[in-house]
Amino acid sequence: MELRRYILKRLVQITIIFFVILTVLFLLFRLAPGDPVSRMVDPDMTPEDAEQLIHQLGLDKPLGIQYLVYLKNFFTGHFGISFHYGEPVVDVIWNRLPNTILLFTTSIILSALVGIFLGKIASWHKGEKTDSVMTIGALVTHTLFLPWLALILIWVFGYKLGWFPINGMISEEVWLDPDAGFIAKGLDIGYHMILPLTTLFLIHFGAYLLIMRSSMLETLKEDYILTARAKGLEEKDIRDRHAAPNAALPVVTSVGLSLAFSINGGALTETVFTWPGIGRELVFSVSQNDYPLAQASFLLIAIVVLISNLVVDVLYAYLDPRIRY
Amino acid sequence: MALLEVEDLCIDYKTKNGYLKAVDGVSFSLERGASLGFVGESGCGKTTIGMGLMGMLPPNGVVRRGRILFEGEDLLRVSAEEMRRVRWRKIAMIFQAAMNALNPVQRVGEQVAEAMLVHNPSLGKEKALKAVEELFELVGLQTDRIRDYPHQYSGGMKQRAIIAMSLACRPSLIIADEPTTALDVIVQDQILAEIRALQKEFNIGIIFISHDISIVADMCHDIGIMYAGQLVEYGPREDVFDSPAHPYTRALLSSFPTLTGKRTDLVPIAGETPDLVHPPEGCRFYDRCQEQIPACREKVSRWVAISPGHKALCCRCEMDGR
Amino acid sequence: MSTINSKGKKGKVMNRIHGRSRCIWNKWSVLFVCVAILLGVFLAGSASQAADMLKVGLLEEPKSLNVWRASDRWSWKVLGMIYQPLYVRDPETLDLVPWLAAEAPELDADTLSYTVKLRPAKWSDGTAFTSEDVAFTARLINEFEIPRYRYKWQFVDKIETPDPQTVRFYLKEPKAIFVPRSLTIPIAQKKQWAPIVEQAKKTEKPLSTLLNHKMEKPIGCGPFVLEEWRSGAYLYLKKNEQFFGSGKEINGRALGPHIDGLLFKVFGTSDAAVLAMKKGSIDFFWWGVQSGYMDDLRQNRDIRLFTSERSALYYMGFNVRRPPFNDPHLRRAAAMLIDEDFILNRILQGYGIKMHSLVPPGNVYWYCPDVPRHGEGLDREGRIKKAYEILQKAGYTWEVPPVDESGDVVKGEGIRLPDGKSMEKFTILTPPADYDPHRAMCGMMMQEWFRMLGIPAYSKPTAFGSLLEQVKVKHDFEAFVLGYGRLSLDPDYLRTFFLSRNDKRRGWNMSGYHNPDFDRIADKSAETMVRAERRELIWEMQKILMRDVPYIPLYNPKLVEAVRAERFKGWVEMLGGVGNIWTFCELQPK
Repeated sequence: MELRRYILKRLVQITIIFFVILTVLFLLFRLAPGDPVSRMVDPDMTPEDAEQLIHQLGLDKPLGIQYLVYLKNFFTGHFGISFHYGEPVVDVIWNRLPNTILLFTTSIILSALVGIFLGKIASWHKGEKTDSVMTIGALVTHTLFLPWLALILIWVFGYKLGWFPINGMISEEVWLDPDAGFIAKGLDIGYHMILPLTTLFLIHFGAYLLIMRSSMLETLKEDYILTARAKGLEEKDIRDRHAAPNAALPVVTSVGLSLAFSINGGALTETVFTWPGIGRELVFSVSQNDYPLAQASFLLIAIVVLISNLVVDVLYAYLDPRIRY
Repeated sequence: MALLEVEDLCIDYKTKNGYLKAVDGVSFSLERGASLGFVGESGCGKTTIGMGLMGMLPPNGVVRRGRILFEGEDLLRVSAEEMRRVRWRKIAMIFQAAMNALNPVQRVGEQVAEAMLVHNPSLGKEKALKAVEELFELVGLQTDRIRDYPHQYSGGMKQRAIIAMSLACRPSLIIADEPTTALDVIVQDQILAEIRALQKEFNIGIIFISHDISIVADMCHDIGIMYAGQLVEYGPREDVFDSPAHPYTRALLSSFPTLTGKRTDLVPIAGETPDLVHPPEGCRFYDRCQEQIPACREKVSRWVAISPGHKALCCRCEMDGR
Repeated sequence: MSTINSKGKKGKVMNRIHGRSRCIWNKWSVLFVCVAILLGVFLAGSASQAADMLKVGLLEEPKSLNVWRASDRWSWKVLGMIYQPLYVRDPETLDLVPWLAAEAPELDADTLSYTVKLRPAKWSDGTAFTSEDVAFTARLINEFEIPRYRYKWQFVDKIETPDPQTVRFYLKEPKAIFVPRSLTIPIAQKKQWAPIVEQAKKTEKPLSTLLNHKMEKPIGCGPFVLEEWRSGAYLYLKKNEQFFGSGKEINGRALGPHIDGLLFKVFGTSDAAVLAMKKGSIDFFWWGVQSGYMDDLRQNRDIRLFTSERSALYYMGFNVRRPPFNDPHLRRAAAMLIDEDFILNRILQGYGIKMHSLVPPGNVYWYCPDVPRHGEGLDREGRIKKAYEILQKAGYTWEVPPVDESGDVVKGEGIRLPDGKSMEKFTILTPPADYDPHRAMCGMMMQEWFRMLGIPAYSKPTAFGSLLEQVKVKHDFEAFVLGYGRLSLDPDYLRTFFLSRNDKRRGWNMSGYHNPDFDRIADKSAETMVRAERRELIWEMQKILMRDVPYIPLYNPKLVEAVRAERFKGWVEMLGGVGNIWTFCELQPK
């Protein structure tokens, strides 16, 4: 009951924050320099054409009216029409979203699980070689420049060794083959996902490893670890059953919070690997002043971040019995 | 045969500056069902003794020499795995309630049951929880609180839960390290009474470790006064309290309210404990001692029998022939 | 003695985290290894298929296959295979040759009408291509005022279709661009578009509705037809069995297509596309290869590089509406200062052509060879002296003149305008280096050259969108560097860029150049239908512009394209590169 009330309260908060974001986004794009029509630097387009286009896009209306239209569009679940695709933004995003979710969530889950697991091991071997190797490895990979790492992976594994595709999400050999079944196509996607996933994984797991490691080291100083040891538990059980669940709590929070930051890396990865996701679309739409698409993409990110924060809070309450709302 | 016999136990901590002699040449013994109290300032080595007995010294702790004969077996010679099996089954520990001795994300009952299941997996979880219920009743906790988490307990309840847990495997020795610190006086009395009663009921040997001399006085048959890693006075409770021989014991007794509750002048002991990495040759209490004589500094202190069973590590006492 | 089994129900929370996490990790690693191995085997087995499919790398995915909306070049690379015009350019002479038309247009000067005979042809759905389709396309443009096409057709008064193979256009006024521009637009199928048009007309915003229509399966007359568009990955075009040129000889060229299909793959970055090229996963990267890759690609025996000229113009523009560049002397001095050889050899590393006029020299018919050439043949010092001379004569003064009494060049300081005011600092807006390093570098160099003369110029790389807004919409700038990569072959743009009328918000006269003489000649050129006469006027315009220099042409970059040499032959080189309709019609498997 309490939890339900808390979630309700948070949902109200989220709605308010969401409206602020909605407005800020609107203003951000309108006030930024550059207009979407000037980009079409084609002498075939006359100023009248430009004005006509601006009218068609609704950009000649006063800012206030544009804002109202924007709000109305938002409430009718219609985010406008992408300037460039000429398709409803919802369709464009809907088309790309599954690809991003596939890559992004897999990478987050994978890097969080591996990070937690390795962080646990590292803390257990604190000061030993295992720990140094893991800690230094985590620091190095975490601070790598993502596009560079991605290009190195492409060059080594995609080109030199030729083990994996250079980019993209599917290969035409498989998808144009009428005999290729569902499994072959699924495997094809998995095969293409390996390099981008590795990139995101390498960039992200280090942070989780380091958080988990330091959290573990803190936890190991706790008295209940002493109790567990006094009880005659095996070291492995002390680590896995008493230390790790407590130590993992801060990592859960950081996974939620880091989502917002990892979106940046996700967009870069999608761009480098030509992964047809939201991130690539976002980069493109911003550079092309495609307001409706950019706004909707950012809104989507905002929603994801807000909701994931709520989920993290609820999850935290579930994992830590001391937290009650 | 005594339940526990410790001979010349020396425990060092490896530090940057060298080996810190945390426990230096401590010997004592404990009979089944009897209780022994260690008193001293913090850092005197009393907790290290407890941890040494449990085989749970921190990674930088080493036992330099000595013997810990428990039920006739030298615990310093058994393997880590054997020692693990001794823990809790034979020697349990009661931690201080203010400490975070219970895992916050596990239900209390399960933590108690875990102690049983570790040493007797065939028991099964059902039976273990049944046994936990009995233990809860024994220590005066309501059985419907078994499924609660530690943060839902009061300090006293946590302490009772820890006591219940210590009894889980019916050990023959319990080490109680500051068992009632941070509890209010009434709860403290209840808990101590509980421990006393359980000790009698199950015939358990108890080692009390406390900085609070009044608790030890209340609970123990024998008392050891510790100072700077050494046992400086050791003997039956009455002897030590009625005729303290070592100047430190006397200073300690005068720095506490009297046992009757009548307040006399509290005399704090001036000065600091010596550096245990390079302990002085002679008496370690020399610098702070009110009754020092030059010999204390030069000669290595030796044990002096004050009365049968009552001895002190003091050069001065030797001189006095007390 | 074993401990409590970790699968026991005790410690639910931790088992939930731990037990499961370990188990998932194990599953993942196993799964991944399996996937990798399986795919390796699987793909190795299936790599050999569709041998005669040409794989083309694109940088970006086409945005729309709606022929009326598509504005990006990637869409047009695909649409160009499907929708065809009446006339196309000959790859060598660049003259117009009949394509969907059967012969050259016939002008009737009295009625101001053009008659075009059509070639027998079929749409890819098998229906006949007729004069109705042509008329429908033109009427649709005029009715909806479709941006980008509208100005090519708004002067067409009436369209007649005397028979299915003949179409006649009546012009309101003489227009030189009618044949080269209006008759080269792609023709859309009436059958496919008529219902969409009817639907659009009923809506509140017909134009928007039409432009936003999602065209899934465009029907055209071209050599290829869209088979499958897998969003974000590839477009697959099949050979069009109905193609009118199949097996025929048009313009002396034996047309195919001789390949089974075209596969357009999206790469996003040049890096990835070049690697794919080297790996052999694409046969042709339809985009300019950056100079950084050239040496590497040149050493690769399997790869062939084509270097082509482009119809492009990269230039520096001035705001002639306000000081200091309202003074033609200063602009001429600037033109004098700019060392095109340096730009060409150092910045472009030789991959470019010098521009003397605003029409690229590759556009042989319209290019005027004898325009004023500022500072040609002079070295750096000579240029500075000459520029100093021009400015000194015009009344500019210095605190420290750039040429001292003994005639040596020194760094000038404290330049004052003829009216005695000191020249204020100004910026040269350039695109940012990550967008185009060459233009950004040109800006830097020009800043230095200006400063030698004591002119306080500051080069400022600016985000592309805001650069255009400042220059084109707000007219708030002094100088800028921009370029057109796809300049039309018809030189009517000279008129568009410098006509007084076009100096307005979002207008193409970004410099704000006003010259009544120029306006008169330009307007005359627009209605001169005799090609040779029109050329005289166009040449005159080029001369005027190079005298007044509202724009200084900087360079025309060459286009280097890479193809795999081993699989196909018959690439047709042409202005604008090998990716042209002739190549796709003539290419053959080796």
